[in-house]
Amino acid sequence: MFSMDRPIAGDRSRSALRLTCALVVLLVLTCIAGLAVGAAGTSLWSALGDLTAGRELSLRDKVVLWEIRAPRVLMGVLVGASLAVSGAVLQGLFRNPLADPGIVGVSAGASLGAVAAIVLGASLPFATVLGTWLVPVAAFLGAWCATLLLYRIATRAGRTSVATMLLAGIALTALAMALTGLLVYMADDAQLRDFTFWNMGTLAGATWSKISVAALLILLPLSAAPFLASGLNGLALGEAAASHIGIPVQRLKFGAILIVAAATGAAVAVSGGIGFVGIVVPHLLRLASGPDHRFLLPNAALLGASLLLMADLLSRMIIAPAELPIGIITAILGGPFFLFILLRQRGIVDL
Amino acid sequence: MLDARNVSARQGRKHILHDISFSAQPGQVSAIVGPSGAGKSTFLKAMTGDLAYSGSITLNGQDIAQARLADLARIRAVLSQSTPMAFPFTVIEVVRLGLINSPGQDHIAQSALARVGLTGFEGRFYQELSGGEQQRVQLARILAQVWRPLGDDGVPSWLFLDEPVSSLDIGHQLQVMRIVRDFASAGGGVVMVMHDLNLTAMSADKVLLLKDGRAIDQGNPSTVFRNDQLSHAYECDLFVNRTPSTYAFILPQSAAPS
Ligand SMILES: Nc1ncnc2c1ncn2[C@@H]1O[C@H](COP(=O)(O)OP(=O)(O)O)[C@@H](O)[C@H]1O
Ligand SMILES: [Mg+2]
Repeated sequence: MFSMDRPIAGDRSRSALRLTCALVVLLVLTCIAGLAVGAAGTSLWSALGDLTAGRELSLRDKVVLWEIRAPRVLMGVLVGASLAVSGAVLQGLFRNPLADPGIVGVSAGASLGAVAAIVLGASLPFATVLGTWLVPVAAFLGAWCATLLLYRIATRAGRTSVATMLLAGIALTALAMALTGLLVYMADDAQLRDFTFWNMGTLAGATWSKISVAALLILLPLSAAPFLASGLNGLALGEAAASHIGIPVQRLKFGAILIVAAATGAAVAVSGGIGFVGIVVPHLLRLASGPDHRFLLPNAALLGASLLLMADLLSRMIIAPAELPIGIITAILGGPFFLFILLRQRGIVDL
Repeated sequence: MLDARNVSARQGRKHILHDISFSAQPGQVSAIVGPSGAGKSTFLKAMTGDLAYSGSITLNGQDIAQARLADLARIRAVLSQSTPMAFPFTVIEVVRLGLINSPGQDHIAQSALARVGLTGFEGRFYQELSGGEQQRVQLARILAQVWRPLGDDGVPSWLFLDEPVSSLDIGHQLQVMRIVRDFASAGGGVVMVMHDLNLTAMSADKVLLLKDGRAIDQGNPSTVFRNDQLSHAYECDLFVNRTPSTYAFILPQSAAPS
């Protein structure tokens, strides 16, 4: 109809859709780069040439491409998407662009859960039933408790105080880290090795079996998130006004907290602490095409995945053939970015 | 119709509203007045389902305490005293939030903006508008939500407004009063908290006068606005006069030249 032909000023839905297309292309390109670049001398292109020519791949190429690089790329996509989407959902819930799972203590809660599962694992009930699911599920529970607690503390009568949210985040993070430290102190040698391996915060350990668990835990909340989109848009008006336009606010908040906890928990469980993706990605997207969550959430998944793959490439290239933990890269790039947003927002952060 | 019976309510442990009974008819503009802190906003919150209360409140015969949020949203829209927004939404995006449960009706947003005189503001950022402009954008949003004052089934829609003109200049105050009058004339109901007694006398078919959480009087402005009653409610000497066109207008005595 009319609105289809002539865009209305201020309606950014079409530029957001164009951005979605561009981000799909970007993601495909970064995935290819992730498969092509690596310490081993394997070339994606010659392997592809071999395949199209009907030649059998060498065992070495097969292992490098299929057992090392492919799971790593897929893990990067899953983790990047889930970090960015949890950030966007958390920010919508708190009505504030500074909410990031890593900053407000949700990731620390997830870490505590994961470490508790690693150290206390065997003595926990259901441990044997859960098997490989134990660590991700525990991380999810830790993240869930942290998010609930944070929401209780920082939000009064539907209003979130930014100062309280950030300070409560510091306190929750400190508390969770102290408890984590306590658990590590109690750990025996084998558990310590598991913990160190997990805590490195890289995508390096990605395997297909790890991915099969992570994929389910991450794809579930990611595919549920779009259902919250228009509710989160309404929530930008405040809780009262949101309920006046018919949004079931309590259910929305419950769903948002569950999604953030599941996505963050799963991401932390498989990749340790990777910070700032959740704050940088939604912020860039809001600048580019506005805060409408119907576009923000899928675009955040795409850009988060691409950015994390790029960070992973950097981490593999800077000191090649060795690797930097990817968490260091995202923190070095994301930290100043966070400060930049904080300074621009100072008016509302003032205590 | 809106029917509130023996409504009492608390904020925290403090009793704010005491046994208020009040009714408003569709087709009319009803106003709630009273001094600051009298409980006007609190009473409006009870009627919009934002506050637990004792007593009963029905809207179009439906108990609002039992009604589903989505059903209520279809028949009534609410404008708060101020609506700070998170995130940089544009004006058109804000107005479309009123249409969140009316898929395919996005074109109404522009008509609603035109209604409040903000055509051309579609692409502006909400946060960069003045307080008065923001208030009018929110008014456009709630007008879009209940765009038709009277549904096909003859069910009236309602506007609940908390001080809709508090940050507006006199021209836009009159514009908003015209909008609510048109809404009522088309069969809808309007309940609004008002600060300005003179504007209320000009615009309302019915007023409820509150003081300290109690209803002092209600009815036609010309009967409710009496010297003794207003002076008592506002604790200052007020003198009610009549314009030639029979509207009441209220003069504060201490400020009037003697
Ligand atoms: N959230 C709250 N907690 C405690 N007291 C409140 C709250 N909101 C309002 N009140 C008190 O209720 C009384 C009525 O407030 P309100 O309805 O906002 O008055 P007004 O008539 O000015 O709109 C005031 O005394 C106010 O202090
Ligand atoms: Mg008030």
